[in-house]
Parts: sequence; structure tokens; C-alpha cells
Amino acid sequence: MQSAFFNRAFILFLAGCVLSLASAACFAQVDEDRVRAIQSAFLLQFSNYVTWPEASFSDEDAALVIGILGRDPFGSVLDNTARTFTSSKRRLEIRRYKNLDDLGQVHILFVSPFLEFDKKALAAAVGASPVLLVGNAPGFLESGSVNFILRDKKVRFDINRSKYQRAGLRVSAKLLSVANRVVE
Amino acid sequence: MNGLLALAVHLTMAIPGRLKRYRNEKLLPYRHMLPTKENKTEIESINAVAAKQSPRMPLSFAGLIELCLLAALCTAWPILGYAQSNLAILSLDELLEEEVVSASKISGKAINTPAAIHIISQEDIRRSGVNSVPDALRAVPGVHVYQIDANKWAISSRGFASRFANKMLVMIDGRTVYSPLFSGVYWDAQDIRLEDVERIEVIRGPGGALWGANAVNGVINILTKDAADTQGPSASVELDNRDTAILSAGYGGWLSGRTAYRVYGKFTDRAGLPAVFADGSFDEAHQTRIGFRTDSTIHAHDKLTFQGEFYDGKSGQSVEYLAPDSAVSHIESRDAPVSGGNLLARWTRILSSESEMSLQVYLDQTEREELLINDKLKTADIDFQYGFTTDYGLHILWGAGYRYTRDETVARETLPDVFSYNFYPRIREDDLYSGFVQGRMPFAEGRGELTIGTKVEHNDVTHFEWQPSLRAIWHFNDAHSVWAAISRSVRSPSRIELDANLNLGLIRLPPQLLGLRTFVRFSPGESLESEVERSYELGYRVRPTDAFYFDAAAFYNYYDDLINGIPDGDVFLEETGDSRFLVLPITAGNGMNGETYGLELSANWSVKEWWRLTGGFSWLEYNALDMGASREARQGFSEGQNARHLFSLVSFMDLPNDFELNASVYYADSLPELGAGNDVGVGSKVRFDFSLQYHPGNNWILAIGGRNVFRSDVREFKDTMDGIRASEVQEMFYSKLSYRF
Repeated sequence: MQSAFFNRAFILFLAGCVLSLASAACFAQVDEDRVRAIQSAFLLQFSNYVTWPEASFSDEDAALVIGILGRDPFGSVLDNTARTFTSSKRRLEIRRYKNLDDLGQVHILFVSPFLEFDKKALAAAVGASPVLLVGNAPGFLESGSVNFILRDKKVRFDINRSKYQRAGLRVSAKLLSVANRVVE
Repeated sequence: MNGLLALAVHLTMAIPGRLKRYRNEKLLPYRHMLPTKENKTEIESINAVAAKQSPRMPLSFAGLIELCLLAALCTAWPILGYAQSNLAILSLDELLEEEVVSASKISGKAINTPAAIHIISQEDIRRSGVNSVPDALRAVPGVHVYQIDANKWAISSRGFASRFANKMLVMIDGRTVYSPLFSGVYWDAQDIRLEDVERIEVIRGPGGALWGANAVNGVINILTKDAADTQGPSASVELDNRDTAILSAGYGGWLSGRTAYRVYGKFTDRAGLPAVFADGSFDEAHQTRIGFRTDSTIHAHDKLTFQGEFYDGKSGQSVEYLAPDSAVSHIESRDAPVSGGNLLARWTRILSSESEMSLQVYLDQTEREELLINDKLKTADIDFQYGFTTDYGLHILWGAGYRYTRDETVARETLPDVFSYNFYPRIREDDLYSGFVQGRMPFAEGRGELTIGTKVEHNDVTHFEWQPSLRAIWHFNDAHSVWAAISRSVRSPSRIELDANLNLGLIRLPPQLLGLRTFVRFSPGESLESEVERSYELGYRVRPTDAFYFDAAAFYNYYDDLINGIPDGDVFLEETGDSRFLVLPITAGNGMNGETYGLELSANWSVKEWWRLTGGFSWLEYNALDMGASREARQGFSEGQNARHLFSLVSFMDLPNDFELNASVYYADSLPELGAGNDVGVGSKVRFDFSLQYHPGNNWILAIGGRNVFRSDVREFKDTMDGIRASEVQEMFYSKLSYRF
């Protein structure tokens, strides 16, 4: 009796597998959590390869602020990575801003891909202040300095030289050399 | 450095020898047993075994002083050269090489831990469509999960499964949910919101060196998500054909740029299941639960977590018993009110790149008004841990903790007096002090790692308890590794063994003796010692390709001083009012030895990028070296009921057009027959679950599925010794709609 049930269950299970095999299409899966974790580590690394004007820090001990604008795609991974990231020269602080109105003192600003922002409003809010604008959306380089992309299953980034120069920042040759593409 | 290791090794080796020296020749109290033709030779052979396996003295003071010295040495050790395997330590160039495709779903932790570890991810939970923690645990190889009724489960690994599986420690976010009353877990009270679970780590085998007493045969660690990972609104509705309804809703956000929060609520109404030996069902359960969690990052290196949860509900149950004056069994049913709450605060600080510390405090209260007993338990716990790495790569983790418990019981008056559960004292307050130290030393350029550690606890009943463990792992290459472990663990006596006076076992004892009903009268033992396990484990892992992972673990456990019911004097006649009956007095004692051994195999195979299979097989043998009580009493009190073989196969499949199909088959051998009274045994069972999920867009999931769809044997477990009656586990079909921003 029991083995009959077992057989029935197993045959159905196998049949289901075969049917699904026949119909399923192959597609590569990108691990979104992994993408976010690597992007977080890059955001932290940028602090070592970009030079901000001294005036953007209130004093020697002032923290370097990494801000997230809009819905945070990183969650705890950015904070946890930052807690163990010890190679930065300054203390790092992570802040979240709901929208442009909340924006405060910030050095690296990641603009959430979920945020439907007005390019003009962003430009007006940030202006020429020394902020490295980082994004993760097609066409983001029109507004910001760095844009994450995926290439060959790896996280890469494009850099817009004119944007960070206008913000008064200096980007090291090392970072420029590993960028996927540097546009003017 | 070498001196430290030598001292540690000396300590571990010396202690068992010291214990042996202090063994006295006290005989176990088998003399009370009623000799009959059948058991005469048994008693003789048992006494012979007992003479060999006499009880031990607890750890000597000298050993403790040595241990304190060891701990002191460790704290004074230089703090240098910390290495962490996370992205924060990678250079820019290394980051550029990190791939975003994870071919294998096996975490590094599972591969590198020298213990039989299995991790259930949030994705596994979601995809398998389970709606309770016990059902999620079915997929863990070697974990025995038996549903007793709609709201009760017997869960254990490596033996001793019962409703009060007393050798499994279960923790939720660092808070123990193991009840010291019956020593076990009330699973109905752990109806947590599964959407918020980050992962469930299951370690089979002893974990006492880190987690302390009662982590004898395994540890289940349920970890919920960081509040920063549950942003925005979320909700779900699940309904099934048996009128179960599970509703949940949550909302997460940022209180400030540094503090994330979530609040949530869950309502569960679990439909009753038909009782096995009666019409109708008595086990419908409902529960409302609300909770919150905040996670703050302060000054980059500090993390502060606050969380709390409160629940209130009713869990139906029915209890069967025979009245003294009647041959007919009575059934009483009750919707037992179950409520509780807890608050927890945890502060972790990264002190330097080489060291980290954490401080955790929690308060917990649970209350149950069961048919037989009311129980109110309050717990306060504080735990400190500190970890650091020396420049030789030696990682030291040590900690200290204190736990206060206050347990209050009230016997219910609904039953005839003779059936009352009376606990003396009615209120028990206990202090538990603990400390542990663990050293982890990599060698041969990281190909091997040796872990040596111990926990020392002091409780009010058995005083000092010592739980050392020695573990080693060796990676032959990237694909193959072996690990081995030797551990000593203890289970401290629970309140039912220390304080309870009760009458039970009426149903299944020979019903008539001299024409009179017979009761088993259970009384607490005097000077009970902890149960002791010595465990030997060997494991092998192989990952020939990124797509395939195989894990095998073998174990041999020897148990000393298992607590059981020991016949204490002759059967006597008792008269209350008009009724006369015989009483068989039984006392709790450390009267049993035993051994278990077995094998657990599991495999994880990513057949294609869209198809993953996981499977498990386990084999378990149990030998009790004791005939001091009937087999029935043994199974009820100490042995539990365990299938010899378990098998599971789970398939996760991504289909085109945003569909997922997930299916699982579970097989468990029959449970051993008690061979007494009206026991009918539980046959082998096959369970088949499936879940078809559709993801229209990123935020919505629509799932339909079935559980136990070809029900083969409707019972998963027998009635428990306390008279709780089992139900038939039915097939059910459900649909679930969930939303997450």
C-alpha cells in the first residue's frame, strides 16, 4: 500500500521533472545580492581614489559621508561592509535621504535606480558642490560622474570626467584606468 | 603559542581521566524493580552494566582553576593579524574580478565548518512554500520532523524525538526558545513570520562547547533579516482547502539615515486535523503576533539591534485518560491559551581590524494554560562575547553569560485529582552562569584548522558542567575535505524530572491487575545528575564541480546517566473515595545508558542554471543499555521515537515566463512499536509537497501548492506519554499571494 503510494508519487514527480525539462528555457542567473554587495564595496573603495577639497570637511576628524538617495537597494550589506572596511583614511558614515529636499552634507551620493528623479532638480540640488554622484541606471552619466554596469558577469563602472571635474573633485589615475569607459 | 595549545590539550585530555578517578561505586537503584521470570536475567545483566558504568562526579575545582587560567591567558594574548573573508578587505583590483553569478548555492560557512551543518536560505523557504518552521526543517538531512497534531511537532536529530525532544537546542536571533519545564520546544509558540527569516542554520550533533547545556544532539539557529533588508511595505495571504488562513503584513523604513526599522504582524489560523481515535478535531490553533526590529549603525563600527515580539493565541489539544473507576477512556479537549513576548538588545562593536565584541541582553516571557498544567516562564539573559586574532592566525573567541529563569506552574483542576500535575516547588527560580573559550588555529597554510574549546556552566541543580570539544578540518584541495570531532555535552534535568508529581501511563499499561486499574505514579528524583553524551563524529565533503556538492557525516554517541523512570518500590493499593486502584511508583533517576550511531548523506546538485536538486538520506541506530523500566516508559521519558531511515529529495526549478516549480518528496521509516496496550505503531510514510509560483513583476508572487498530496500514512507520530493524542496529517492545497516592495 505504502510502496504503491511511493511509486505513484515518484512517477508523478519524475514526469513533472521531464515535462518541465522539455519546456524550460535556459537563462543565466545573475545573483542580485552579489551585485549589490560588490557595488557596496566599490562605493567604499571610491573614497580612497577620489580627492575632495579640504573645505568639504569641517575638520580633520570629520567623517566622509556616503549617502543613498531614494529607496536603498543595498540594505544591511553596505553598513556591514563599511563596518569591516578599515582601509579608508577617514571615518566613513552612511546616510540615507528620502528625496532631494533631505539632502545634507555628503561626499559620495548613490542615486537609487528606483528613484525617478528629475535631472534638472538633481543638478540644481547638487550644483557644483563637491559630491561624487554614483548611479546604476542607463544614461546616468548624463547627470552623474560614475555609473555601475554589468560586463562579463562582473561589476564595472563608467566615469564621466567633466562631471566630477565640475564638482571640484580629483579622481586618481588608478580608478580611471580600471573604469570600463571614461567619457568627457 | 605552543605553550597555550599544549595547556589546552593537556586540559582536555586530563579532565576525563580526573573524572574517572572520582567515580564511586554507587549502584544504580535497580533493586526496586519487581523481579519476574521475564526480566530476572535482564536485571542481572543491567546491574553488571551499571557496576561498570557508575555515575561520575562533576568537574573538580582544580580543573576549573586551570580553565580560568586558560581564559586569562587568552585575553592577554597579542591582538594582531585579523583576516576576514568579506568584500571589505578586497583591493580595487580584486573587486573587479569578483563574479556576480553564484553557480553553487552552498555558502562558504557550510564548507568550512567542522560540524554537520546545513543552512536553509530564505530562498529555500520561499520556494518550497512551507508555512511553518517545522515544515521548513523537513528538508534538512538527518532532522526528524513528525507532526503530532495541527499545532504540535516532534523534532530532533540523531535520536530522542518526542514532543519534548530534550536534546535539541533551538534559538531565534540568539534567544533560546528551549523550555526548561519539559525541556523541549513548544513549536506552536514559534510561529514566526517566515518572510523575515534570513536563514536557518541547523547543526546536527553536539554544540555544547559554544551553546551550552541541552545542545546535545543539535542546534537550530533561526536568524531573521536585518531591518535594512526589509524596506517598504510587504504583505501576504495564504488560504487552504482546510480553512487555514495565514495573513501577514509588515512595513520597513529608515528612522534616520543610520537606523532601519521594521514592524510587522501575523495572524495564523491553523485548521484542525481529525483525531486518530475519535470523531472530530480538537487541535485548531490560532495566533496573533506583532513585532519590530531596528538596526542602527553608529560611528561606522558599532551596530545596535533592538527587537521584540508579542504573541497571543490558542492551541487546541485533547488528552485521553482512564478514570480510576471506569474502563472507558475519557477525552478532554481544550483550546489552550498560549501567549508570550520578548525584548532583545544586541550591541556589536568592531574594536579593530583584529577584534570584535558583542553584548546581548534579552527578556522573555511565555505562558501556557494547557489542559494538564498552567506554566508561566520568565527569562532574563545577558551574554558577552569577544573575539580576536593573534598574529599567528590563532582566533580566540570567549564569552560569559548569566541567565535567570523563573518558572511558575499551577495544576489545573479540570481533571480528577488523581491526574493533576503537581510541581513542588510551584515556583522555581534558577541562576545559570556560563563561560566559554574557543581557539581556532589554522595550520599548513590554511589547509587545516583545529578548533578547541569548552563551555563551563554552573546551574543550581547539578552545579558545574563542563562541555569540551575538539574539532579539526582538513582541506585536501579545493574540492575535498574531511573533518572530525570529539565532544562531551550534557543535558541538565528539566523541571518535570526534578519537581513533578503525576499519574500517567494509564492507557497503555496492562489494563487490569488483580482486577484493578493500575496507575504509574511518577515522582521526582533526588540528586539527579545531568545526562552526559560523548560524541565522535567524522565528516567528508566533496565539491568536484561548482555545480555539485556532497556531504557525509557519520557519528557514534554514547550516553551516560540518561534520565528515565525507575520503578521505586512495590505496587500498592490506593483508595480514594469509592474507587480502588493499584499504583506503580516510579521515580526519575539517571538509570539509563545508551548509544546511537548512524550516517547522514546529503547532496546539492545544480543540474542546470534553472534547476537545482537537493537530497538527503540518513540512517540511525539506537541501543538502550537499560531495562529498568518498560520500553514504553523509556520511549516516553527518554528514548523518544525515531525512524531508522529518512530520505528526502527537493527540486527547485525556474520555468520560463517567471514561473517556478518546486517539489519535494520525504520518506520516513516506520516508528518502533511499543508492543503494549492499544499501541498500533506508525508505519512508514511518504510525503509529497509541491509549490508552483508565478512572479508577475518584481513585487508580487502568486503561489499554489499542495502538502502531503498523496497521503500514505495519516499519522506521523504516536500519542505522547502525557496523553496528548495524535491527529491525522491530511493533504492540503493552498494558494498564497504575497507582495514585497
